[in-house]
Amino acid sequence: MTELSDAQAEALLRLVADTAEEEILCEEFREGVAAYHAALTAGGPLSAANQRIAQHRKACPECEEEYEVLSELEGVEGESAPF
Amino acid sequence: MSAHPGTELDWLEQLRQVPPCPAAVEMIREVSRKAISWTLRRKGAGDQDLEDLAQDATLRVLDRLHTFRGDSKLSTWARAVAIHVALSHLRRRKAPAISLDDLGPTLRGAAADPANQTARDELIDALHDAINSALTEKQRTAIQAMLMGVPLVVLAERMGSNPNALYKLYHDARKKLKSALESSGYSESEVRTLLAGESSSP
Repeated sequence: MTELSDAQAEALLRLVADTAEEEILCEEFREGVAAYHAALTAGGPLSAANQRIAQHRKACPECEEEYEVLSELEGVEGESAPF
Repeated sequence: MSAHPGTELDWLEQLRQVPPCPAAVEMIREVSRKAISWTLRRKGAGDQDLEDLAQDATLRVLDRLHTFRGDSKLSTWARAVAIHVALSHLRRRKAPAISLDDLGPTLRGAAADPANQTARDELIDALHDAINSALTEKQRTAIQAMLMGVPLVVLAERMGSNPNALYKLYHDARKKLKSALESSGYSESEVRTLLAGESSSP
């Protein structure tokens, strides 16, 4: 058995502070992340579904990493793609 | 891309045919291949598994096509699938070799010099108390493994679970910790304030 380091404790505290009563699962995040990116790029207020995607980004480091990569790649490939 | 289906609707229709149109599938494979190659390079990984990963991503896109709602470009949606496939592959390869038997944070001892404890130290002590009093052993193990960088999919396999069930376990654990901290006088805004380094006490 081990003890959390202070750095791990602080990371956990941030995740706890960002915890919502209801959260979507990673699978739902992946199904909606492309639409979320499109909405974010277009600007304007986010729909309830996209707000749940935004909340999941804060709670799940792995999905956040996937969004960061998608966002960068869309900047390179997405604009030139017709659809 | 090997063929141009005209419009996105054409592309979707060709993918939804039984069997799917080979040229439309090839376009998905090409989008996936580029996204995976880009992701592997960005993460400093070699591309020796590129073709297998592109095939996996293509099959996943076809399998999940019914969930595409049409509120983004199909290529963006397919890239998101491909990126997940690539990063999951890297996470499995790089997962730290940790025995779950060694995990599960325990009560930490008293501070060496309580007189010098800062408000942030007290908050961290309260977190440790909450972990030990509010969480199950399984939740403690899952929380620590995640903080040590064990990927969700790997942890799920090691715990005999699946990623969705594990995320629910992880979410429930965070909600319990939030509630326990609130009971100790640490509201969400108080936690954020202390983490930002501002002096405060509960």
